[in-house]
Amino acid sequence: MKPALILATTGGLLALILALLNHWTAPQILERQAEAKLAALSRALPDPNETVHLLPPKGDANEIYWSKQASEPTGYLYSIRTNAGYSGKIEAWLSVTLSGDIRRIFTFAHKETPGIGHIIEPDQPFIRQFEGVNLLSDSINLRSNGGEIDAVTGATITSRAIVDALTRGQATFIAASSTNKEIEG
Amino acid sequence: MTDRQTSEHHTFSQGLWGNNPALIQLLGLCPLLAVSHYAITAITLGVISLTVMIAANGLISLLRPLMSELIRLPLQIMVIASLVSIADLLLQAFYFELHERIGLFVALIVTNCAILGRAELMARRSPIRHALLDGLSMGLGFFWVMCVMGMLREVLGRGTLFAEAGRLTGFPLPDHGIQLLETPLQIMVFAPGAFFTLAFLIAGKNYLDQRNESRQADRISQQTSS
Repeated sequence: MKPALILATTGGLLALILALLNHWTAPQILERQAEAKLAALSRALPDPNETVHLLPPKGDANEIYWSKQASEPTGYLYSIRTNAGYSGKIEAWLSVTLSGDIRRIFTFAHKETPGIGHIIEPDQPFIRQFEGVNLLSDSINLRSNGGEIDAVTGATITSRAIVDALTRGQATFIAASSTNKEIEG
Repeated sequence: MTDRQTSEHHTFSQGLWGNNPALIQLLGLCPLLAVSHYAITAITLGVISLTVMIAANGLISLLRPLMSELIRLPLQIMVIASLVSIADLLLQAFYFELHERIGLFVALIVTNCAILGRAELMARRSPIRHALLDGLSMGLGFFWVMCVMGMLREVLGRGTLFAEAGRLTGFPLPDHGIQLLETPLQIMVFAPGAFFTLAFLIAGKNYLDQRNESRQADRISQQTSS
């Protein structure tokens, strides 16, 4: 037999075996991946007993999740981002109650100056002052702009960036609550 | 012992000790150094490498009649890559979290020169029985070095043994492992620790070999003088 033919046949056979195995394991692997993602996401929630579930996707909005405790919805979880950080992009998971009160902001990606920009990391006093603020009815703004939020001296740009990310996150909340109304009613 | 048994015994001991892939041939060092910071990751990769090595040797030995000079390398690589992909998919489906830890290095087994080396040197010229035995011996040789490195580095660097092994594999082991050292030397779980451990293992093996040789020499000189 010609070498090329041998190579092609062996390759074809092996590819077939792999394709079958892939077909058989793919659903399981996808399921595991989804589980792992949800488990990682639940770290962004204030209460470790809560679980995370994906809301049906709607339009081009980001993925929006439910947070639930004992199958009772406690609110929404979705990512917010801004490019207005001192060193570019800041990304965070925002969890809000069903009525839009901020529960927790969990920053997961930023390049702010170490030691100054760390004010936006989870459990820092600056980021915790947003807790309880309502996304829609309260004005989210720094004091210098007539709002209620205390900026951190030396990190004004970073402080402002978080306000910017939250303002952008309002639209996602509106999308989330409208999806929710569709589901419930 | 018959001649055949002696030669098989010789083949087997070659991989485990005399011509150990990790300690003498210094092949497959990338996974060896990279995932041996925890006992469980080291053992997993050791098991996968062992399985792939046996299966690859067997398959390549079977393909001998088709193997011409022109296509032997692509054919061997194809077989090894397919086996590794199979192992990778199965690990991902059944031990997902374990795969998250060492996934990159599972794929890298394809380029593990210890495996291609055996295929090229041994399997493509040997009958299947011999090829399988060679794969088993070389695979076990790689596997035990992997285990020893993993356990040594975890105990020295973290003070524990088999940490997280229970959660990752389903065996009934405590999640934080067995606490053995109170004040671990953190550097042992980082890259330098991998080189230190390997160096000590190689030195240890050479020391034992030299001691054996000089003892044998002593015995022979005693016999001749008496």
